[in-house]
Amino acid sequence: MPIDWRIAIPLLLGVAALFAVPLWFGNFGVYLVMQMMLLTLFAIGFNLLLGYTGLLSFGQAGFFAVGAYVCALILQQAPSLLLGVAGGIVAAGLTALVLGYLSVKLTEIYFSMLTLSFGMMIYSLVWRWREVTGGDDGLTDIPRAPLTLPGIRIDLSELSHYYYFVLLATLIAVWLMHRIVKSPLGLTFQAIRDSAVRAEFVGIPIRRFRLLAFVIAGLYAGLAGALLAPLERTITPGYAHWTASAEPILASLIGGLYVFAGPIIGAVLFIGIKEIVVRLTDHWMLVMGVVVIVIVLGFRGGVLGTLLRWTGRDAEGKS
Amino acid sequence: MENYLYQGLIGLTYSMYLWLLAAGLTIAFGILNILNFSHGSLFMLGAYFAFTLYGVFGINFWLAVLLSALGVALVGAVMERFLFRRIYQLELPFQLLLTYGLVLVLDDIVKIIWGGAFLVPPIPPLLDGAVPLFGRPFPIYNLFILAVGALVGILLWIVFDKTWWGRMARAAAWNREMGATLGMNVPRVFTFVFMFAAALAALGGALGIPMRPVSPGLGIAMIVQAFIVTVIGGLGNLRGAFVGAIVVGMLTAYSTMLFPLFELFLPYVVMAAVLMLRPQGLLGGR
Amino acid sequence: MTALLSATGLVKSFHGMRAVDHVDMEIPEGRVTGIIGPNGAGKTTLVHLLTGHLMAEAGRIEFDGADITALPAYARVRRNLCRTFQIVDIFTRLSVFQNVQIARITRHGRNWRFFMPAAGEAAGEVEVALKEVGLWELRHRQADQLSHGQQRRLDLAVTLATGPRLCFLDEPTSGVSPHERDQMLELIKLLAKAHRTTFVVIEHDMEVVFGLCEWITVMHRGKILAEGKPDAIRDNRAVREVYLGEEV
Repeated sequence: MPIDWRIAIPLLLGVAALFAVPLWFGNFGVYLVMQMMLLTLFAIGFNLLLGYTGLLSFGQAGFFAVGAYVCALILQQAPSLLLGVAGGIVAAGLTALVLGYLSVKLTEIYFSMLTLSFGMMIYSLVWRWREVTGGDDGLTDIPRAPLTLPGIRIDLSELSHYYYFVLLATLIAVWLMHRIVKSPLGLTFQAIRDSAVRAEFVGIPIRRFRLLAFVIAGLYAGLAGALLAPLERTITPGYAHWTASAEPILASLIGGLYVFAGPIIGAVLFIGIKEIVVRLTDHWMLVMGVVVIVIVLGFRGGVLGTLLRWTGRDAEGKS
Repeated sequence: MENYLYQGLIGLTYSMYLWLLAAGLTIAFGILNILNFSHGSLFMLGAYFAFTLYGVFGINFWLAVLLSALGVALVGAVMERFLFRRIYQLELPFQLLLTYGLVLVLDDIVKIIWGGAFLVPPIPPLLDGAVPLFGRPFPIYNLFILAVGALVGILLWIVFDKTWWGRMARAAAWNREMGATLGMNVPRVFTFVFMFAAALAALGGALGIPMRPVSPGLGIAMIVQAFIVTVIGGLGNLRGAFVGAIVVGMLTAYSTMLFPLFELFLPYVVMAAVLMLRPQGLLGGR
Repeated sequence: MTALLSATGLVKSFHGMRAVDHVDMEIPEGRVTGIIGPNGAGKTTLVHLLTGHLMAEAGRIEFDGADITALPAYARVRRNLCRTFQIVDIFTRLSVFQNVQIARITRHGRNWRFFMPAAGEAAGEVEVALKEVGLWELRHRQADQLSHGQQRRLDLAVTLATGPRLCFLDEPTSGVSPHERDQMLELIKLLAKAHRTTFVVIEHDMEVVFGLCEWITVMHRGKILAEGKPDAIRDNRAVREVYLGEEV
């Protein structure tokens, strides 16, 4: 396939810049970029469900929290980062498999409400299961464990070291998601989004594919959560609350639901705007709320979708 | 035994707040077909209005409650006229997101005006007493709330089932074009319906101020309760909302007493069970 | 001829009303069948039952020698039984090319492939299918940007791309101009030959039915009123009575 240099060059520059972040910025900048990457992971998973499969989940924070707590619990017992992160992802994926199986029988508002209630069940569980989760105090002193592979041991206690681990994980996960979205599987998801009935009448068992999309979204939420635990070193039940589920939704909306890079740009803008607004005023929610309302009323393609339309490149097919 | 009955009354009182909250949400969903995330924020706004009028300016409590409901109805009119009206035709995610955007806006506006602290007004003197019930003093105020809840229930039943106005609103919901050909001003009907829903939420919020502190998180806390109630009863079903409110109120009261560990958890279990087994709700007919 | 599809004793009711009331039906391979009847006769409901869009309360459906009564719609499509809907139903945000492509991908059972790009999948087959219906030039267009007549043709192309032996068309010409309607009829005849697909057409438009079908089944109040060759149906008294006042 021919390489589109108008996309490839900015992409390469962007990735190069990401690698240079710890060289240019202090710990705070590094921390901020990591926040953007984690929200990116969370949001592209979420958007596979909404933008590509047409299902609006209000319970994604539940899977994020499962990933975060399981990773934290593993790290407190066994100091191996890979083990912790893998454990978090697997736990989130299994949870998504069970809850997804129950959820994908419904669609539309009923699906949204059921995922909301499942997410809040996880929240209540985390809040009340004090012996394991620490209740409302959460889990603290989560070690930023070293990366151990046979014969190698890389110390990640330094924030900038951990940054490179998160960066690599993010790049791989985003690349993988891009492959999925452009594959026959991705096309199948989009067909279900556009018309579930028609999809069934070309021979697609729609529930199975909805479940698969749900599990993939859960895995990505779990990955984001698992990577968060060693970053923050403290996690609290708030990460499971439904208002936390709104973050990937807002990021996807801001960037654009129907473009692959939409949720990524959205995540960067979400964290960026938040950082700037919080420095200037206390009223970050007000700004965010107004942004959301303006986008819904006038720019439903999001920032990226609108830009593509203005520059005459349709949001479909390419990106 | 008496303990259980007493706790039942406590639960029933909570049910009535939930009912006032869920009734408005149900009416807005049933007629405008929008599930309004910011409905809890209107409840909160009602509480803040009442707190200011009664607790700060010292206006008579009843008048304060009434004015709060009216004030929030006006806020609702603005919301419907300038925002909701533009999203009736949009896909579900965009509708939900707009109303969620309003949650964020209203939460912060409240913080700007009243600050982030918990506010507690005095209980109105007229109702600052208790009667012995099941061997314990039961606040008169709670009895009053029970009466208001029942009254609102009867009122809504009359309005929507018995009056021309209510039938017109339901006809407009059934078929917007048909409503228009019958000569009704559908947009105006929708504005009134939404004002009415907002006023009900505000009534619940305003009447709640002697019972619980007023704070900016109230809207977000209440909207999820309202979702639980309306889903259990059946989205868009008024009688269902009443039953749902009683179920959730009782569940909360008894689980707090018997197994407090699961008090948060149980309502969601019931909500999920209803959705999985009977998505149209306990009283849904479809 | 042995029947490709045979249904016995099908029943479906809504709110106590029998929409389909003990219907028996046989569809032999290779014969274009028309199902007609006044509004509310149960034509569409019958097709819903046969294709698995709705499940019958009673009765049995056999297709190609196998019992398919309990199979969901997608499994029937895989056994080469497909349909279109009264209202155009296409994948609105996908390109014209992708619309047909997803049907071919599904036909080949490649939906689960998640790593290689879809772009080149079944490209040759999609090209043939789109050229047949005259939409190849518009292949990059997003489907919801097509005219209604073009969308009708795309709908047909998607359906045929699933490779059906038996295909139900629910009012394939509703909402298109008279000129487009004639084009559509020619297209259906052409495709029936090219694909060796047996078509069953549900229609309101009598011209379409008598111009296309070799056999006609008339439904009335959930039951089959009459069936036979077009000429016989045209002369049938009971049918004329049912249609009195309706356009014949």
